[in-house]
Amino acid sequence: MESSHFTAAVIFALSTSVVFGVTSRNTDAERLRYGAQVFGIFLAVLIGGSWLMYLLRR
Amino acid sequence: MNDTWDSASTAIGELMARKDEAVANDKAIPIGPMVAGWLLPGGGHFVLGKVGRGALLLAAIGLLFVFGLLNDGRFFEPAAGSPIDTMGFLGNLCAGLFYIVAKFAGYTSAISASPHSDYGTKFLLIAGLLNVLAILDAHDIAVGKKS
Repeated sequence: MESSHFTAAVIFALSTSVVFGVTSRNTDAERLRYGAQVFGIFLAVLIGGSWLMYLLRR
Repeated sequence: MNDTWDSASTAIGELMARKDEAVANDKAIPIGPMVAGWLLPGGGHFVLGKVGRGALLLAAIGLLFVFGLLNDGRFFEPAAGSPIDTMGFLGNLCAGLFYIVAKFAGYTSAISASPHSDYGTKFLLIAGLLNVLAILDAHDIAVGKKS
């Protein structure tokens, strides 16, 4: 199987944020919020970093 | 004089009681949930009745591990002169039965310069490391630090 870098990064972000969310907070609402927050930050850094590298390379 | 002896013996008695309590607390390490958590990601949570959280951990860590295998990732082998490989091996081992079953099933991967294989190697390692977080969480739940 040959997945793209983006797919691999999204799967990593998803799994890691689920584990961080489940293990880091005390209530279900807090876990959900923290997991979503971590996932969003992962994606933002991924996409932002990609654009940054694209613009620097031009 | 007697008062001094009484207060000294009381203080010693309190210290001994604290020591006994500390020893008892040390013995209260929840081995069962931690071993279950090592063998199967989320297993410690299942043992403690936290089925939903256990299922989420199993799905998340299992997804990473399977993705690592599908991408032809390689397992680290312990090597005397290479601490990186040895630490990688320990990280892989933390994935528990996933790692053991894959090894006994004969899974091997040639060392490859392909980026996909590199993703796979990292995913296999990270699955083990995330399972350490799950094991520690099961420990905290078992000793009452978390609900």
